[in-house]
Order: sequence, then structure tokens, then C-alpha cells
Amino acid sequence: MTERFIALEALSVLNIVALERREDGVFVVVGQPPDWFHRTFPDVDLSGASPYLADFLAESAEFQPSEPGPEKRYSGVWTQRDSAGEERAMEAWTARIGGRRVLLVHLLGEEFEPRRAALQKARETALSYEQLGNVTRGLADAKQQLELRNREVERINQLKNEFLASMSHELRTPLNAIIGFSSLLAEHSAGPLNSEQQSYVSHVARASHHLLDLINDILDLSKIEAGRLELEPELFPVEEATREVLSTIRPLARDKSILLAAGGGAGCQVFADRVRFKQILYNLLSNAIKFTPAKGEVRLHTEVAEGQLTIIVSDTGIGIPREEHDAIFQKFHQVGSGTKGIREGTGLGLAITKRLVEQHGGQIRLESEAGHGSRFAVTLPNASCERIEPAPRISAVQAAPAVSAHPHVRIAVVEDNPANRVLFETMLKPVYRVASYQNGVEALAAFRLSPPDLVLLDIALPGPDGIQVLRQIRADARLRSIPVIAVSAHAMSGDRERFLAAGFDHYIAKPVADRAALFQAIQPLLSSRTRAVS
Amino acid sequence: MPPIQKKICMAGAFAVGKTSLVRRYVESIFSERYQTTVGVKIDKKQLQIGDQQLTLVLWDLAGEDDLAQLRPSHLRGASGFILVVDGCRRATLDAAIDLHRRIVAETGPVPFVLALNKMDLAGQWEIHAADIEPLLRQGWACTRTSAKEGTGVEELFVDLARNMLGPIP
Repeated sequence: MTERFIALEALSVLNIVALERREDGVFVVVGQPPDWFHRTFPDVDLSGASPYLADFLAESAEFQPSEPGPEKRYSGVWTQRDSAGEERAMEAWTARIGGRRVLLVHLLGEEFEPRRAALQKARETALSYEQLGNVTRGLADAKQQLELRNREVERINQLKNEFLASMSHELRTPLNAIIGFSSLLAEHSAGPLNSEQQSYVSHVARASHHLLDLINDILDLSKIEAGRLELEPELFPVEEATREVLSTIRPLARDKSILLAAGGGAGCQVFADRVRFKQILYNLLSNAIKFTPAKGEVRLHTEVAEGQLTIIVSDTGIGIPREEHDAIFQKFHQVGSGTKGIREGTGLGLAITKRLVEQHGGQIRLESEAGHGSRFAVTLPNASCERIEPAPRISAVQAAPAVSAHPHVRIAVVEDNPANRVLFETMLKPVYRVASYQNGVEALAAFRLSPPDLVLLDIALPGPDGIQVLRQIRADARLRSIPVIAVSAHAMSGDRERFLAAGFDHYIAKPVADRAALFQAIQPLLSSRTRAVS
Repeated sequence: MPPIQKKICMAGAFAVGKTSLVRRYVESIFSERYQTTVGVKIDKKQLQIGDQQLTLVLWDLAGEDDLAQLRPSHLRGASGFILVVDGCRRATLDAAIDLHRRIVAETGPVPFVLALNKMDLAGQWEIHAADIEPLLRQGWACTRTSAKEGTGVEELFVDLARNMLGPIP
């Protein structure tokens, strides 16, 4: 009795009413029915009160025979109004327990809304799937379009790279003659020049160097933008690198009577690409000098704090209006009216500088106002100020070897461009015996008769190119030990590595600045050859 | 004449407005809040057609989709049915045409009406006269409704009830 009472109590708490179906078909509630049940099923005829329940009961007439059959045992959820007009959600089960046919009716209360909400969410999601289907189809189309465009962009980019390589080569070849011959003229190699001639030659030299800077800047920028500029970081003393840059910058400052002052950074080192670090410094300092009137001041200050190197380049120049602070770092931008007619430079320097700084993980900031000078602050990570012994480093000027005549040393120049052939002959003749050839076939035939001591070999030659000529030299037992230097206007990223990998002993990019650059490459190779032979 | 009771099933894809049409008809109410129907919602509406007292028992079936399929047992004994379509969703007309085939297989040839609902959003409709014309030619009864504004709702149920009763002498 007690157990039955507990069971009925439990059903009541769960809002479940148990009914037994008598033989005459009438349902009798087990226990005391709750109010909600009375309001929903006011008379004994359950079917009459609920068409849904009637339908369900019709399917469950026998309340499951002894053999399991297809009859329904669970009604599913239905909603109907009670006698007070209130909507009630219910579900029902039928069962046969010990020969008694039992119907359980469950009033869905608080648990109904979460169930409805979950279903609603699921249905909304199903709708979203429909919409997502459309979006996905749209995205697939867009992706296809994008892939086509990407392929087109890649093709154009490839064409651009080929164009840049070709332009670089085609411009460097005549520049080699212009820079080289003007350098020879300036050295009075062809006899003394009067002051007017000297002035003309210096104009030619300056203009050709400007053109070279422009080519280099464009190549740099295109490499940076294509993500092909690879940094080669190393740990080096800041002071040493700044000193090297200052030695290049000082003559520019002196020409304009500008006071160039530098300080800080003593004993500090930074982990960065040394060449690019100097390029950043050079760009900032040369820019400052360019836009500072005569008798002005340009100051460089470096300091390290919390592992960060700060480089400050300030000047008393024309300044940059606030509204141009962002634009100044864009390509081909130069301060407009504020430059007061100063239109030197390529307009690429600061754009390159900013990208180089950022590629190092640093930042560049500008403080300036028109007429009040400028202050560029560059911060680079990975710096420290532990005392280090400066690495022995020979500057370019110090490294220039003392050149004495070696008339017994035979240098072969293989170069198809007549002007460049004459230039190299002229540069080398005072020191070496020089023979020049305009193509590889002619050169190889001569080498087999009389091997030279060293070959300067152009790459873009008519007939077999420089690399093919080198292969033939290396394949010939009599010639294979001759040092061969690639002298080429192919000066794009990777060219140097490509030529050295092909077996060249050294690589010089055109234009060759002066004869010192040539000797610097030639002499060590000749010395080691002499040692090897002896 | 003794009152009679007729079962009408409301069928259609989900969120086409079946419950809203019933609610508008039974209670003259429309709610912007969408509430999905769980299982079956039973409602009753009494009306007089000529001398005949009629109680419509409206079986509002949960919208069919991937989550819920039409249960043939719910159609048993139906004297008529209303296929509800959302005029703004072309796919719901295709769903209704498919449902019609399956319902008729269960109920036999009983009166039905195709309700093109959401007339208040006529500017956004994806279903046009050309889509309906083939159905009209097959003898389908079609009507435009707006559960939101009440347009065509009363007529929908009353016309179907009349058809279910057959010609009044």
C-alpha cells in the first residue's frame, strides 16, 4: 500500500497521470487526479476531450498484445486547450502491465519550452543551412573567380619580374661604360682634365650614380613587395656600422656646409642584417642632408634600452607638413611644396626604409612640422649593450689593395659590349696583360692555344652564354683551374648565388664602380692560384 | 440539423505560417514572435454554414523539414487539408506539391486549398502567377492570405468547410 502511494506521489510530482482501461473501455484514473487533468479531460470519455488522444488510442487499442507489434506506445507531443482556454502540451504512453492496460498522460510543464526552443533553434539552423548553401555556392563561384584572377596576377607578376630583370640588365650594361669611363677620366687616366672638363665629368658621374641608385631602389622595393627580400641577420657593433655609413655621408654634408654630428651606441650591438641596417641609416641621413639648407645641422643619435635599439636622425631642414606624414613613406612621394624645389632622389628611399625597418620587426616614427626640421626615430629589436670586442673588419677603402704592375699576368676579358670591353681593357691594362674577346667561341679557341691566368666572363653573350663557356673551361683539363669571375649586369636577387653555384670563383655586378672594385676581386684569386701552382 | 465535426490538417514546410493562420482564424490574433510547433497543435472553431452547425478540428502539424516528417497517422480521418506556402520562399511551393501527393495517398481525394501566405510581404515574393497557373489548371483551389493582416484567412477556412460539406441543398 505504501509503495503504491509512493509511486503515485512520484507520478504526481512528474505531472503524470496513470489511467487504467476497464473492459468496458472506460478509463479510470489511478489515485487522485490533479486539477490540470480535470480541466483538460472534464469527462470520462478521454477520446472525446482530445481528438489527438483518441487517434493515438485507436492505434493502441489493445495496448500492446503479447507479441510485439507495430502498435504505438508513445503518442508524441500534442497541444490542446483545456476548458479554461489555456494551451497545454502533453504526451502519452500506453503499456500492458500484468494484464492491466495502462495509459500514462504527461503534462509538459517547464520542460516544454526548452524542448521547443531547442527544436526552434535546430529548425532555424536548418534554414540557415539552406541559406548557407546559397552562400557556399556563391563562395565557390567567387573562389573560382579569385583563382583565375590569382593566376592572372601571378602571370603579370612573373612578367613584371622578367621585365625588371631585363630592364636591370639593359640599364646596367651601358651604365657600366658610363660610370667606368667617367671614373677613368676623373682619375686622369687619359691625361689631365681642365677644371671645366672635370666639372662635366663629375656631373656625368653623379647623374649615372643617381640612375644606378634608382635602379637599385626599384629592384629593392619590388623584392620587398614580392616578399622576396631575405634578411641575413648577424650580430654586429652598432658604432662600427654607423661609422661606415658616416664616412660615406660626410662628403655630402661637407659639400653643403652642414654640421653632421653623431653620438651614442658605444659598445652596443644589434642582431640585424648589416647591409640593410646601413641602408636604413644611409637613407635617413642622406635624406636629412638633402632637405637641410646649407649651414644647417643633421644629428644622428643611437641608444639601446630594454633590448631595443633606437636610431634618431634629426635635422634643421625644411620639415614635413603634418598632413604629409603618412604619405612620406609611400612610393614615389616627395614632400610637395615644402621641398622648395628640391626634387632630388627617387622618392623611394623612405618607402624602402620603412619596409626594411618593419621587416626587421621594428618601427619608424616621424616628428616634423613644415619649417621646423624633422626627426625620424627608428626602433629595432634584438639589441644589447654588453661590451664586445669589435670584430676585425676592413673597410672598403682600407681593403683596396696596393696595385703594382704584373705585366706577366694575363687576364682575359670576354665581353660582347664594345664599350665595356674597352672599359675593362683600359682599367686593367696599367697592371695586367689583357686580351679581350667578344664571344665565348673566340675566347675558348684562344684559351686552348694559350691559357690565361684569370678570366672576366660576361654572362649574356651571343652564342654560348657565360655559364656554358664556364662549363667548357671546367671540362678542359688544361683550363679547369683558371679562376673565372662572372661580370654581369644580371644583378637580381639570387643571381649571385646562381653564378657561384654554377662554378664561378667570384661574381661582380655591373656597373663596376671603379678599377679598385675589379682589383679587389682579381687579386685574391691570383694570389691563391699562385700559391696553388707553387 | 445536428452539429457535425470535421478534421482539417494544416500542412506545409516549416515557418510558412500554419499556426499563425489558425491563430488568426480561431483567436483573431497575430504574433510577430515565431514559435515552432512541437508535434501537433489541436484547435477547434465553430462556424455556421447555412443551417449547419460545424466544428472544425484543426490539426496544425509541425512544419516538415529535415527534423520532422509528416506522420501519415495524423492525417487519418481528415475531411480536408490546407497546404500552406510562404510566398517569399519558392522552395516551400515545391514542398507543398510534394506534400499534396503524399497526403492524398493517405486521405484519398478530399477538398484542400493551397494558401499562399505572407501576402503582406508581396514585394519580396519569389512565387509568381506563372508558378501557380499549372496548379490551377489541375483544379487546385489557391488563395492568397496574410495571417499578419488577416487578409483571406476567414475565406480560406470557410471556403474549405463549404467544400467539405458538399453542395448545400
